[in-house]
Amino acid sequence: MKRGSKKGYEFGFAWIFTIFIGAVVIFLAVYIATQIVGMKQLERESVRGKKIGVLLTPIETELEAEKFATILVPDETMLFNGCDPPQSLGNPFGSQHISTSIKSSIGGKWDVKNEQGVKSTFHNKYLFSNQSLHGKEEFYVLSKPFNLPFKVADLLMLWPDQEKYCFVGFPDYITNELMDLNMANIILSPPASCPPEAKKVCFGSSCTIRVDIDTFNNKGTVTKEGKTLPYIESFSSGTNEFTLMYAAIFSDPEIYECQVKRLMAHAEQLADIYLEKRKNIGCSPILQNPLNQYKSAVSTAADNFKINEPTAATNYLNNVYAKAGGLEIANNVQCNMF
Amino acid sequence: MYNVICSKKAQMKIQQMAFMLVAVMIFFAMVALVYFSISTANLRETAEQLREEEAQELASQLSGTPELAFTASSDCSACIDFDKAFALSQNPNHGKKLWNLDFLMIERIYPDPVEKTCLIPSDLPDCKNIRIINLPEGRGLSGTKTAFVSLARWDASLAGGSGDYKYEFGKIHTLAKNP
Repeated sequence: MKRGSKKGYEFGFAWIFTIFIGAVVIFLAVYIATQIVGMKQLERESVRGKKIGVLLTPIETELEAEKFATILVPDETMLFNGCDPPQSLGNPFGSQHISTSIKSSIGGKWDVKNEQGVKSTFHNKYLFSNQSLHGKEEFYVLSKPFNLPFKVADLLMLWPDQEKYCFVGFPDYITNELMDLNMANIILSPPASCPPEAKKVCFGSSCTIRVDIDTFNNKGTVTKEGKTLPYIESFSSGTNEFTLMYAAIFSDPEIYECQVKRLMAHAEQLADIYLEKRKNIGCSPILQNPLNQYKSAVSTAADNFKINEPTAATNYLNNVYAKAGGLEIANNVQCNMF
Repeated sequence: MYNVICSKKAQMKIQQMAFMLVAVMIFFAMVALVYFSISTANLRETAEQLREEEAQELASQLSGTPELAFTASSDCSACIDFDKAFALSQNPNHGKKLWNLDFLMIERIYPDPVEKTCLIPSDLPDCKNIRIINLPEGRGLSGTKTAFVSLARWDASLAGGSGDYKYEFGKIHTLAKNP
């Protein structure tokens, strides 16, 4: 433009209007794109949560004594384990929730708490783990049956590739089993020494996770995060006796409490099936009394088992074990229903 | 005079621009509609596929569940306990609340059963099927997954009247839960 020229660039209504509308269109486009990306991410996370839940079904034991499996994930994933305790009216088995958060390749910080997929709910699964598990490529699952005295459920112990457990000073019958299973991120010491990042699980001595076994009374405790988690042995031969001990080692105390309540509630429901079966096959009524006593014991444990009251919690489990023992003896004498 | 002509041109331009903007917005709205309808259909399909996968996995794994596993004898570890299945059918809420299924039925195939549903204990020796979870009203059977299973049940007439387990052949039917 020439100096002193009266010609000017007219910034009229049309320009202002265009810029305004352009800005609105661009804002809308960016907003919609962000929403679509967020929705797709939510979809991916929800699908992954459900897929992991479905994948856990064939990992459960059928004929096998125990199973170890690896779940591969294509991206860095945070898995959340949620548990609702049983409610006698609406939800007699309680609920197992599984959800995930996947690290996105675009965007900034990974806000794992607020960016979770929709929870997938199962009522027949018992996942013992920390409440959140950070896996870069793999998650590991150990599946073991829990018999009290009949099979109540398969317990699934879950840990990610970012967590290592080092078992120190355990007796041979446990280390031999762990060695046979050859599980990833489980280190036995000796022969290997514990890496510094591994969680130390010590038998009878204090460290991150302390395990005490009272084989004479078929029970024990796992002490972690300042809390004592009581457990009872499973009515299985061999190493599957310690199913609930492994569950306590790999779980957060809150998850352990909730899942034990669910197991007890499930045992109560199964006792009803055996009561019905006893009647239908014309089995002697002598079995009815131990079944009813057992049902009452598991029902009490399901309602009252609390980690914060360790003495009472231990007593509830001991009572269940005693009644289960009585039931097993009666079953072996009569009918052999399970 | 000049001003008047100029103003008409500007009005025309604004009108043109407004029409253009409306057209562009309609175009984007249509693209968005098509995208969302495709993506919703895909999502539905994925959800349906996942539910079917779950039903299939359950069908093949049910013989190992404590509700149905035959544990009374070591003769057939992979068998379904027909007596337990019948006991379970007496309390339809149990199965409904435990499994994410809309339908669960155990069918006896061999030896040839009588065409009837097992409703009372005396039906057990020859009835055809046990419905553990009844199909909800208005739900079709399409998408039902099946798996062959061995069945075991107590037969009081065997072993000279002292009773023994009888092993038969059957099929398990599962249908995924509709949300």
